[in-house]
Amino acid sequence: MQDFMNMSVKEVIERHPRINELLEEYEIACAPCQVATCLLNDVVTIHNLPKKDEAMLMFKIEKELYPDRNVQLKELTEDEAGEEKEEIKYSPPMQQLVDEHVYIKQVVAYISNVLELVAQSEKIDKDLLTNVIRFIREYADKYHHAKEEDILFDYTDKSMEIINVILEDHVTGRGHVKAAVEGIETGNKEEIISHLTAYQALLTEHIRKEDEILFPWIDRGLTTSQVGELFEKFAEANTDLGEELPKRNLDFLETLNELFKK
Amino acid sequence: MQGCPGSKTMDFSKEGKETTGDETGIRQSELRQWPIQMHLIGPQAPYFEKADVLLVADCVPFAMADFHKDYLKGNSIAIACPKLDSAQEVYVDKIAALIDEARINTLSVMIMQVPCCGGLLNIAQEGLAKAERKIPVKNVVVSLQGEVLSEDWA
Repeated sequence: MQDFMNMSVKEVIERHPRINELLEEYEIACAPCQVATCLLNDVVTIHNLPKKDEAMLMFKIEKELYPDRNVQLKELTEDEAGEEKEEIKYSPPMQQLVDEHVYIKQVVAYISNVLELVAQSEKIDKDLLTNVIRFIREYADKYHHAKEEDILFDYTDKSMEIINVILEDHVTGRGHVKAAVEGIETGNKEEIISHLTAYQALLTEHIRKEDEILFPWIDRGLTTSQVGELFEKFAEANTDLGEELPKRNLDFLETLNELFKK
Repeated sequence: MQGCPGSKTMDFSKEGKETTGDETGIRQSELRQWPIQMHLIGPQAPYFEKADVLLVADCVPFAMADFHKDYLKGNSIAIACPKLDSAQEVYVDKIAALIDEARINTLSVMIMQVPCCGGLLNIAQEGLAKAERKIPVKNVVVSLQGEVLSEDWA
């Protein structure tokens, strides 16, 4: 069993596709992840399921992997058995990142509207597309992802696969944006549409992973003092970039709200 | 009429309690400063500089057997009673000074579960609102018999 637990979830699912269904029963959605190299063991523990759910999931996984084995359901104490799924509460610095996600998700959702315009118009609206790219590069990447990469991840075990998965998402996202910019410069509609669509799908799933799994997991490992340090370092990083950068990008979100108001 | 829960007479002595773990030996106090009462402390004291600070209701350390080990260790402290202390507006200014001048890292407000103790969290939040810097504030609520009922970022 331990061999499977230390195997990437992708490999386990390839060998035993039913494992994916079992994970999905407990809202562990590894299939949409384009990397999925997290170890099965980390996937189960990082999701912080109530103990009774974790025990049942492990029982079902072991049964699936070893159908002939007499698998026993782990015995739980009364407290463990009564544990319910808790509402996610973030520490203040983590809440700041989640709040920034709200704005990023709104712009990412508007990519569909922007691309509809691209597809319908004879000539592409370069200004609109350039502003979308500017939001992604300045707000999502420079203002937000930089805080994760340069500050937050130093408070984690960077050798863990989940951190690599998140970093890989950032790199892939930057690649899509670079290709979309080339498409804008050459007026290649197909390139713009395919890369921004891929970016939209990637970021939507990426933010879900961070909000629901990564940030609560990091929060559980932080001491009170580390939360204070993070908060201070985030404030310094924001000050270094100045007020103008977030302002002009959030103003652009307002423009999108007006433009695509339903 | 139940009366005020903060001053209601209760006797826990007959409730069977067993200590687990080793009770032998002499423990060192984790207190690393003096004074500790809110009216007496000075935000300019060196032990507040960039510290993680506990703002503790007077009754909390008596209720919590492991207060020194689990909370006081490594932290600076100020104590107060939001029900009985006078001139509490001074407390608001001192908290603002701790945040802006001593540049404390975090503030953890530890209160008893009785309703009147919530006033200490209000004082902390007023101090935070008055300060120019912002810091994370945590609220720890302790039961009359010393259990941690909740520990949340405020």
